[in-house]
Amino acid sequence: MESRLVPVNAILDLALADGLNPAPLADAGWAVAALEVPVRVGGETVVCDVVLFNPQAGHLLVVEAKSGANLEPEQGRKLIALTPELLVIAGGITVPKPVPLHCEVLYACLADNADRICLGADEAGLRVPVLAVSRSDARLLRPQMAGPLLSAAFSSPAVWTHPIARIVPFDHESPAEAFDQPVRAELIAAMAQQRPSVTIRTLTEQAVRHFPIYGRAAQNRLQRAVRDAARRAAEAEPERFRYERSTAVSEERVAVLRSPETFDRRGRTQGYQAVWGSRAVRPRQRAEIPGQMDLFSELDEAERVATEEESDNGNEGDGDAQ
Amino acid sequence: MTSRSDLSAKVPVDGNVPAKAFVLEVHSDDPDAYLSEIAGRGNVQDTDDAFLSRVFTPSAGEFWVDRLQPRFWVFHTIGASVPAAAWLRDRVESRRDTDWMWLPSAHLRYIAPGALSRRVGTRFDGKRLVSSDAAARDLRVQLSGSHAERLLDEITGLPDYRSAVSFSNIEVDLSDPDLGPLRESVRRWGAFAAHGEQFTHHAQFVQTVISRYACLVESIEALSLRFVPLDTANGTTSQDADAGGASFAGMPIGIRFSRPIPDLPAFCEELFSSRAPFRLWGQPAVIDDEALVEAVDLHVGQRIGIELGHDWMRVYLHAGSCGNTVARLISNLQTRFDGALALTHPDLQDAAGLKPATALAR
Repeated sequence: MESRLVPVNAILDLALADGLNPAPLADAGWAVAALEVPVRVGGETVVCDVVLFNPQAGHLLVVEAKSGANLEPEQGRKLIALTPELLVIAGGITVPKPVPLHCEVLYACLADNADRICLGADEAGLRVPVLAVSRSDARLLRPQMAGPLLSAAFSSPAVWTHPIARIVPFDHESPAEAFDQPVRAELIAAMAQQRPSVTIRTLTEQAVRHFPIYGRAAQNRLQRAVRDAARRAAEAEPERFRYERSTAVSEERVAVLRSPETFDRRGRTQGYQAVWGSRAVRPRQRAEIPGQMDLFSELDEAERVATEEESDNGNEGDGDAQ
Repeated sequence: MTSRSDLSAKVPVDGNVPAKAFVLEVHSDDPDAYLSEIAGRGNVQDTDDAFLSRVFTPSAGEFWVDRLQPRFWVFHTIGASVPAAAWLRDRVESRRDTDWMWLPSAHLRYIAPGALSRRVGTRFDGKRLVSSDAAARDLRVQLSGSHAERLLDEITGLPDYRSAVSFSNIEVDLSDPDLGPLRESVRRWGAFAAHGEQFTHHAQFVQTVISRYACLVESIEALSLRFVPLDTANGTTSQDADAGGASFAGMPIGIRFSRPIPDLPAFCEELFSSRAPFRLWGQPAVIDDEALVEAVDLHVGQRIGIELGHDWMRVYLHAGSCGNTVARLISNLQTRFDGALALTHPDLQDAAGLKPATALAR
């Protein structure tokens, strides 16, 4: 994962009780409500990277995930000025219980940048806690500036037992190659669905699952990155895909020229294996065919027919060109 | 016309030939049109029951299709199981909105805890994913006898062998004071064969198994990652067209293996080779002890993100994707790599790993 994206993904992971990494935010009752929430405050807009809500405590946690080492004082002052009511409205957050609402700002950054972020906060007069994220853990700095719920949640560092989950795996500032895998996977999905083409707009929304969190400018950059990745993918497989510019009657798109779905079972598997690079196909032995004499074995042959893979996992062949 | 009560005569469970039931998971907004499409025009006959149809196929004969559960259709037949399965397989493989029901091992193990297991079978085939040094790479056990499941339980209790135990099929005897005796043989891909006295006993048994499985699939889908634009979530239109923002819900699905992956690149090459039974396409990026891949489930033509480590897997299922994809992955991993795997989310583990006390309650 790009280091820029570590802080935001760390916050999300700490709030997801998926049973892999520790989730002290989830354990304390917070859940992620929204990302990149624009809030109007004092006649200006400030964008909150992550807003978490704890419905039991009525506590909103606004997280500014710093990709670098610089803290913007003006942005910090706007964040401090936010009220729970503004956040609830801007984030479309449902408050299930009539509890008093509170909000708090937390900065998250890479551990390597934590000193500079803390210094920047002091210079700006921002009394905010900072969550420092390293390869091994996430620990709360300046806990005396955190509310009791937050400081209790991080009374000890959260030690990563697994890599941080990639909820936001890339963004509009990511390098071109970050888009290759998701774009190619979506083109394979289009092949599998036997779709004749997919527009770049649709491809972008599918390849960038978190597309809705971004504003228009970032979305345009994402669409350009997806277009470039799609063109690279099509150029690498000219017999299977073609990038087509927009015309008076059609949007720019990638046409699927040939899909393995049109082949028989064996050809289909090998056809997919051949796209963007061939794979070695190991020969394998044919499984035995059990008898079907009684009730227990009544479905054996049916099971072989329905689920057996011999017929589509054949020996090395010449791909889908048959 | 035929009514639902006539099914016991159309699909007798007390004849010489076992009654068979095959369950398909179907996504369709127009079930009637869909059934006509897959069966062929003119091959579908309505009945008095809006959810019950007769389908005639030239190769597999007659099916009685029960669509009472809109997503899980039951194809009843007394025809030969091989052509029936072949006909259904062709339907499944030619569509991206139809799949089998992929029962996890525990759904078979605890399929009817009040009943007596007569036969069990495991067909663990780890040749492609398990190290040749492993104590159990390939395990086939078939046992007949009272409480047959206890043998597999015993093997599961042996640390070296527990990861090679996965229930692939089971046969149980059930007895009900009103419905009489019933013997059911069940396969992990959602196929049933039955002998007994009353068809309704068999049909209810099938529906119970489906309901538990549906619970698992819905639990999986409840965790899918969802980003909804705030304008949509709030039911408003933003005045600031340049602004973004989205509500977020869901989380990745974690799987913890009881045995380590011996060779991560080789494991990935096999898992994402597009081959059956996984049928996952992907070009994994293996860095150090972690693999990342944007995979495509070729069964349904949908992308899923997968991360793999030494003894764990993380699956990113996105909104609108089918939970059956993950259920199938779990079932196939259990029979190909680790029969003792666990889901890290407690609700999912509960839904996939039924315990005796909860099995019948669902």
